[in-house]
Amino acid sequence: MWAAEVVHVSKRYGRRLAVDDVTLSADAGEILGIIGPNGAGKTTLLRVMAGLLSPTAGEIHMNVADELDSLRYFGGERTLPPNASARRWGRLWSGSKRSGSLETRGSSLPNVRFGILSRGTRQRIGLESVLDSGCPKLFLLDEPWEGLDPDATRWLSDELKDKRDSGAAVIVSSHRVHDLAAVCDRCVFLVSGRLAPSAVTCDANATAASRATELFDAFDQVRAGRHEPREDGAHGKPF
Amino acid sequence: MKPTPLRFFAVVMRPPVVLILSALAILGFGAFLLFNDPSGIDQAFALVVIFQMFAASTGFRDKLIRGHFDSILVGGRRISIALTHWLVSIMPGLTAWLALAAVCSLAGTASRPAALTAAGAAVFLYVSAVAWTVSLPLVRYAAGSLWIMTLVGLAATHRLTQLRAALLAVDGQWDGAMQAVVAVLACPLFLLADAKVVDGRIVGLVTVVAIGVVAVGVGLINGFDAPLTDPS
Repeated sequence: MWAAEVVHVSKRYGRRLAVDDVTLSADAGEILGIIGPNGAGKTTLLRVMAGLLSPTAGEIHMNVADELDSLRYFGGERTLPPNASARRWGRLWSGSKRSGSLETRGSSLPNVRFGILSRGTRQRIGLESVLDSGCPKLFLLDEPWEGLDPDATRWLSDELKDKRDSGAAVIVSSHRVHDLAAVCDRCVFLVSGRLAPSAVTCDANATAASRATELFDAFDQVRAGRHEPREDGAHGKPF
Repeated sequence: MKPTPLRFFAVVMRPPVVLILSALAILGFGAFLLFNDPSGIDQAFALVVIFQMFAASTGFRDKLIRGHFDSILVGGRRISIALTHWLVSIMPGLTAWLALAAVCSLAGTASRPAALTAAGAAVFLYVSAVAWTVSLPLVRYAAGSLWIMTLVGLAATHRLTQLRAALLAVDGQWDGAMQAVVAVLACPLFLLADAKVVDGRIVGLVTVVAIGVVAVGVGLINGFDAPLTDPS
């Protein structure tokens, strides 16, 4: 059953069409990757889904019980308020039912402004605040691996798989194909605001390296325009 | 759990040190007046009004397009978020106002300061509303700066004197009352300085305008729709 559905959504900024007639859905218990080059419209699409932007056309449907507390979005460390104290931020989000998360880390978080922390530290604190608070059913993460060191990268991948296994839907955008290949069940391609007609369903039994190779190949074909024309906006079709 | 808008804004909108120091300086000045010239205490309240022009001017859009409010806006009801933002924005000035009022009460001034009348409350509400709303599409302190520049412009062209004369000439006619309201809207400090000539109509109209301005601000926040901007 889908947790989030985007139906013929477009978003226009003035004369520029950032997202063009995108239709996709993410199921509960699935990690959906959105791959695209810089400026493809990934951030805009996620922000429209999160309700931070109004779509110019189309509809967004959320199949979650309480949209207020079931949806989490993280747009990257650059969106953290630079003057807010990291410790206060951690306490703001503590209340988690999980142990070993911000609630316990809160006191160990530095009592300094985000603005003077390293990019990777900001990114991890921001991700933890989103991933460790409450029991959301839908996560929207924009370039979550950016700035993370290898340990944090592994931590994030494990967290995303945990969320999927607990029945949540995770939609993650990135241009880091290797990281997406390690966690995603399915990937779609966004180029120049348009969703490519084909998606890649990742083989759970394949190695991460072979999945990444498959994604790279598929992405190359999408960019070269060697894909079948979309007939009905169908998604999830094995590439 | 996701934080409430009040908790969220309390963390990300902590007043700058310069504002806190300014508020303390005004309170000190108020205490000084109470001991030396209690009849002049409204000067301290007037300073709080000017302080509020800047303090309530917190801005919104510049932080919105940097994603600073993403966490609270996702899935949130923007009207309640907007009203909470207004409440947090006016809090420094409101605290200073109430603290000064408390000092007045403790000191037991012979006559009630104009600031602690309905007219004073209307002035404070109006300034809080305009400073907040005007700054929403701009940046912090923008509304205070614009207001001061407007007042300087009015003073330089002698219009401020004309506006005050209109307020002092208010009579039972609605034409006169409307001119007085315009004078107060341009320079709210008149309402403190000339509280004795002000009647309930003017106070009521200023209050209605203030509520309307807050509603405009809520509408602005509800309608903001801009792409993310990279701070770099």
